[in-house]
Amino acid sequence: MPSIWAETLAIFIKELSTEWRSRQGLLAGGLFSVVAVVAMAFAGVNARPTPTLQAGMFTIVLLFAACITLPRVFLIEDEQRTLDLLRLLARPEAAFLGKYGACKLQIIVTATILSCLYVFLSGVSITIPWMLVAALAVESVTLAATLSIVGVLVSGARNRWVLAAAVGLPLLLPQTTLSIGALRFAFGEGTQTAALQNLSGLGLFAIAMTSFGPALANAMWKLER
Amino acid sequence: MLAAHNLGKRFGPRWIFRDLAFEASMGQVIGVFGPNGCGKSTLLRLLAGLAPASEGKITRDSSGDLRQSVGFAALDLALYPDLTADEHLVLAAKLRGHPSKAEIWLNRIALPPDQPTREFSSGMRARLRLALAVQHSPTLLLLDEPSASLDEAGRNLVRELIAEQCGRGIVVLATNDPIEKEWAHHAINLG
Repeated sequence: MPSIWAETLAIFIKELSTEWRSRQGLLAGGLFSVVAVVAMAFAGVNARPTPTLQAGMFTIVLLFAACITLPRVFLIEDEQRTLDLLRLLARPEAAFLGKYGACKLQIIVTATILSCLYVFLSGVSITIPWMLVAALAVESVTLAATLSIVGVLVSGARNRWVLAAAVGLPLLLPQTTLSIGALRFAFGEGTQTAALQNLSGLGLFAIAMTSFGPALANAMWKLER
Repeated sequence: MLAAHNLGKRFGPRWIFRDLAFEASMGQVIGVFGPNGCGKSTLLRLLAGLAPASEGKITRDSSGDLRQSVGFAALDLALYPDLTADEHLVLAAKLRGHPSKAEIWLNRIALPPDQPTREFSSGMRARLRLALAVQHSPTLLLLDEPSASLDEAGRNLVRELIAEQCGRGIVVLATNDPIEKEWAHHAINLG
């Protein structure tokens, strides 16, 4: 039997090659990001939003871009009816970790493009660049972990997109708040202590979600003995 | 050995089948027959571990990982539309920890290696599902209408694969095809 890491890598590569061929997730997330950032730049031409407001707007755009991009990685198995094939071939934990890895990569790419666009078009000043990078990295991992958990939970459900919204809301709200808390410091408001606390909270959230995911996938997808 | 004891499956209040009991040993082909909707495919899903039984128990000889010991090919088992046949076979081999014999299998099932399965006909998809079900030499092979949408060469392939499987395990074959019915050593009649 192969190691769980070999299986995880196989699933990860499968997800990336599938996404590379269709580019549906990245195109949808990228298009949304561009439209949202351009709209915000137009809306704020003569306004000077506070760093907290800037952090809030940025986090919300990233959150929605992730919500458009990431659940597909899990829910597509349901829509294509390939979940049975996946269950017959892969260990549930490896399926989760491989897909979660692909989600992470996609959201990191999306967050990088989005932050460049946002900084360029909104003219926001970055006073603490390392905090921006750290907050983006941790928020991306947390978003990937949370949306992967949501993806596993709702796979197989009849109204999965509605259920995804209902399950996702309580999981996404606290991390959105924490992310804004860290980003506002990067944009020049708040204290370093508060920002680091928010960043730690976000990181712990990601760790909790990541450790819970494989067990949840096992409970949901394991073949019946 | 494969055995079912008082096996039952229901969807909501409606029982699809109940009190089903059978035993099969190595080298046997068990045919599952019955009209549409009687639960043939559902029984195969239960045997594959894809769905839980509502009552009763299934005993399989292989105590290990079902992914290694069971091969399953069904009409409604979807394939990844963006992956090629070669990629499917390589992925399955990697996940099950077997050396990939994709090239040999692609020759045997007569499929192109670099065409995504979204461009496949239903017969080509059926061939790939068969290869995915048997390439790891399972001890229990579950086939749901295996010859549906297959041409004469495809039917011969199914017959060959069943004969090979009899040398290493059990075949459970759900079908209404009169020719396939003749391949079964024992019959389970549902409905």
